[in-house]
Amino acid sequence: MAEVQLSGVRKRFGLVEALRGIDLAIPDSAYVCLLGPSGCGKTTLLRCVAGLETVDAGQIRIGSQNVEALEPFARNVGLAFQNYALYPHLDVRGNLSFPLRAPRRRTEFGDGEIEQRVKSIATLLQIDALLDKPIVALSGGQKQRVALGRALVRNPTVLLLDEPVTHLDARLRHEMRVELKLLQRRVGTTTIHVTHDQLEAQALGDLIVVMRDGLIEQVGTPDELCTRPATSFVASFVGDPPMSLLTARLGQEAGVLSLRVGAAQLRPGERLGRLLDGLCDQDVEIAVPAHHIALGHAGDEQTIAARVQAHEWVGRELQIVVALNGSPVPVRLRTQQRLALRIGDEIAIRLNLGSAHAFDSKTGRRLQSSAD
Amino acid sequence: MKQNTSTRPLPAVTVWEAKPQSLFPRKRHSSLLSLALVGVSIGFATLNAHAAAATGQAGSVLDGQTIRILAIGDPVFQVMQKIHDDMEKMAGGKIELDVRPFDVLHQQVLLNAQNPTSSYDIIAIDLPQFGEYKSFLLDLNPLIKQTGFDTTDFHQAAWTGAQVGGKQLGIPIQPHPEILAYRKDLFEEAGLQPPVTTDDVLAAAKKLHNSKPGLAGIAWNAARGTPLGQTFIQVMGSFGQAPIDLPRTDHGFSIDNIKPENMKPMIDTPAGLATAKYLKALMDYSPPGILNMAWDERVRVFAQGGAAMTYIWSGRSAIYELDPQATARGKVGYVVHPHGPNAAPVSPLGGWNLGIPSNVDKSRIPLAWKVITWLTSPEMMKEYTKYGDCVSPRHSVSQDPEVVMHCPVVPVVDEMASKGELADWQRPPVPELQQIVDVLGSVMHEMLAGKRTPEDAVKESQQQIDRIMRKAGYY
Amino acid sequence: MEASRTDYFSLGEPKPDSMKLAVERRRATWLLIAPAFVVLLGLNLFPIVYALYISCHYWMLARPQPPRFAGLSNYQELFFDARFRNSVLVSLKFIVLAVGIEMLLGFGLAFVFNTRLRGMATLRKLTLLPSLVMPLVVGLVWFYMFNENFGIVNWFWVVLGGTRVPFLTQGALALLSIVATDVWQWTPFVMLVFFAALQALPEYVYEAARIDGLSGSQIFFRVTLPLLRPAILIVLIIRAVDALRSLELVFMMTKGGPAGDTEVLPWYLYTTGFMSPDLGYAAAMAVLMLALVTILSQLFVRQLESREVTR
Repeated sequence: MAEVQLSGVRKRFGLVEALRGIDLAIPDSAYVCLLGPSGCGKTTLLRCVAGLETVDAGQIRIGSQNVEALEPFARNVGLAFQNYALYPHLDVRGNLSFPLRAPRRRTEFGDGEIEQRVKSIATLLQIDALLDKPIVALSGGQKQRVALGRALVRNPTVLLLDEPVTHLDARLRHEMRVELKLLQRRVGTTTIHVTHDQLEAQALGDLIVVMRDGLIEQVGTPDELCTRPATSFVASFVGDPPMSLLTARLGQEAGVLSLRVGAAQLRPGERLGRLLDGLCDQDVEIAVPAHHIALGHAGDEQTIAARVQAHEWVGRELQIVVALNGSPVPVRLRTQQRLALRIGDEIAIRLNLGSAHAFDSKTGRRLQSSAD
Repeated sequence: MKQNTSTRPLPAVTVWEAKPQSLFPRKRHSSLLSLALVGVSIGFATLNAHAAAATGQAGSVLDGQTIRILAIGDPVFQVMQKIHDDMEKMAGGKIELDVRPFDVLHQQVLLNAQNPTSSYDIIAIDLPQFGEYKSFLLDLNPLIKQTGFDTTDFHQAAWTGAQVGGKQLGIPIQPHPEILAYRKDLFEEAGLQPPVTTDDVLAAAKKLHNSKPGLAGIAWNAARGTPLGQTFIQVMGSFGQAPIDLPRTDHGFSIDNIKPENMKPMIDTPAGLATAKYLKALMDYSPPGILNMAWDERVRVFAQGGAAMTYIWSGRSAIYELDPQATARGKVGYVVHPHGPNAAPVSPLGGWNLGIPSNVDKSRIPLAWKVITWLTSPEMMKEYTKYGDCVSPRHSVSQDPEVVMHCPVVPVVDEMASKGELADWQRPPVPELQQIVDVLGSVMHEMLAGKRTPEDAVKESQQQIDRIMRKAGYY
Repeated sequence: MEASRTDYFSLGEPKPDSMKLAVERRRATWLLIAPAFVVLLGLNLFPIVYALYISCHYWMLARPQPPRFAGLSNYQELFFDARFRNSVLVSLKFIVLAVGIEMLLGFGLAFVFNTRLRGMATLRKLTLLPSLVMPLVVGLVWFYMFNENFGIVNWFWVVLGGTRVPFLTQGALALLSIVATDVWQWTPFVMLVFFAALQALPEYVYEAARIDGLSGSQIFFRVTLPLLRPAILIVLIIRAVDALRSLELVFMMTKGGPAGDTEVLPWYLYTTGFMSPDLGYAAAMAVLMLALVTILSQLFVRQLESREVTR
């Protein structure tokens, strides 16, 4: 068990800068999710921690030790790969005991202890019945458990999980999520989990690190990410469905602020108005959570004309994706109304800007007021 | 007849053509077609054959048709490959010449004989193979009579060698004896006389071996299998013994009427043992790699000056006599196979004849015969000597000054033929000959390699051949 | 995961009461595979049965008489035939040496070629050339290269100050020369198969091994080698069976000499069958050789099929 500290970590592959200076402190025993779209550098960061990639600059500390110069094995990390990376020529028992029998640890464990450890980890992961099966005979979920078991069997200081449940079907994915969380609570190992699925991150992570283009956008709890997204990117990436991002132009007519979105003029309200203070005649980005967008009637106040792009049932709600006139970004809303919509229908949506977030259109940073 | 200008560049020809696809004989065209052609072609062919034989005109030999010949990578057929295009022009048709190494040809002839219809019109037959092939070959006597083919010009031994039981099964095209070639210059320098006996050979070989850097005493066929097997029985002939118990005559043995009781092997005999010891003794004066040396290599080594003597099939002397680069060119004397004590000087006659397979399509016979008479005509024989075939089985050609200039060996062989020093009983025409050769070629190789004594080798060979004869049911 | 069952002739599970349908389906199955089955039977079985038939007869190709039934006498004769025993022994020696060296060399070369260096792809294509040449031609070429009087190998050797080496005429050396020629021709093929297998090895397994604390040589012996096992066995089968049947090199280079030291089984069979030409005896030899090939290949195939798991 240990905390992990990264400072100024940089990694370059040829012309591509995969990590552009990462500073991150992970507390002991925390479950941290690295979240971001593909290509954001999250897997590279994980591999740097594991030692499979060497860093170009910066420091990585595990516990009190600087590890960036150490071999993967010496860092005492456990890594579960996205595609399991099990040894296909060994059976389950062979795979689980492999890390313990690695020649460099030959003196560390006796045969009895190895057997006992394999047993207990197999029991923990409920794969004790599979110990003598060859890898090729396992299902995806079983392979994932074995991969986890192999990562855990030698009590690593840090457990690294690279998209561990991505390849599983939806139901198994949900089950494994719960189990992962429980497992981590029981063993208490500091865990770094890489995923591109924000639902997964929110379900599992004590902390979520949102990454983009080799940089960290925000570090926060799941709740913080939703309620106080640090950037417009985080706002548009987190949440189910994610918030809708509008580009608006702030105007002032006779002392009254108004936001022009396409052809529509919206009143920002008091809270938003305060945030936007002084940004007159400038573009701002507004993020509105889906449940603050509703269907409205054309011509009503605070409504915008929109065209239906897609609609689907999510649980008992109808999710509608619409395109606004003059805005390239789609807007998502949910309603419990039972509607017979067709793609291309013209509808009106009403925005509740009371809890909307505003972002600087150039930096993407959140606009905050002192009271916020 | 159209003369070739020798300035024309000769097409590059390999020693033998590897054409795997023709290992499987091609199917004939529709037999209906050939049936329809029968009447026409027989009439014309007979007429043409007469004309060609009478006038020596070859222009109309093939008359646009194709002839298929299965042949061997020996001088006369290699010459045919060299001047193939000119020959096709002369013959006015297509000549398909399949040239094979010795053992492959043998296999091909046997397999072809199992076909309902032969894939070849003409095949090449080695003199000792007539016994083995006799049931697969057409009797040419009716054709000889019908077309008035002149037989008297051929060397007697060569002509009768192609007969089995009164049937003429082939026409000689490259019959030649195995003789001993020696370097006259080296012998004179060392004060040696041309060798007459096997002891002379050993003495000369001993004296000349290593007398100059890279010079061996004698080159000969010691390679395993057919080369050594044939060498053994040919040398044994010079010790006065045939490989099987043939009836003796005044000059040697009779192969006219071989009976089952004549099939007993005669290897474990004083002559056989003397042969084994002689060959073993030659090893000391042989070039490097002698145990893998066969017909081509021995002549090449001799030609390059690597040996003072070599056993050689006379036709192959062209290899150095026609090669300006060869060390041995123009310096070679020839003698009949040196003989052992109490034996007569006699050289084994071998070499190639042209015959017609008995399973050939009947309509093809006149054409095949016409081509044979053309290929064995004096004009063609003379033509071959210009390009590397130092053989003439015809007396009329052998004394031709131009031929003698190209091939000094030809008149020497003609003289041997006249003196009756050429014989073919060393390799009697029996179906088991190749088996005898194979046993000797393997057992004697063990002796030469030092794994058996000569006594042991002749005994073992005798037993193995005896088993073969019993299995065949002769006695 | 549920084992998936593929039923090519139905869209759903057969109902218990549709026995008639099942019978018809089976009949259709047989009807569909019958032509292929007959062809296979004709192509594979007939020649073997015919060889068995011939092997029980006395049949000389050179004689006009039809084959004569001889029972098992050909086999009996083989049993006492020292030359046959010798040829089997020589064949085994040849296989072990040639295939052994080819495997080791091919394996090593595959690793060299697996490195991502400039020009490796071109070099790889070049090395394949020998295996594209007809074995007969290879034999002829090397016969002349090894020749003691005018071979280039000896020429170089003498130029460098050595004495002539009897490559093809001294017992052990002759076999080694043929082995060397075979190695020259077939190592590239072995290399290529191993190279392809290496390319297909999953990289992530190596990363797992690094995290699990294996050094380079340990990764080779405990991960690479076990993963390459199927490829190794397949190459072994192909090369061993091929080497057992090959006679071209011996035919061109030594004719089995000196003194039978290079007389491999196929060459003895060939001389017996086509030069002597005792077809019955040769067929008996062929049948025994077939048995040998079958045993040899089965040995490997069984290894391949057993999914033996090592811990």
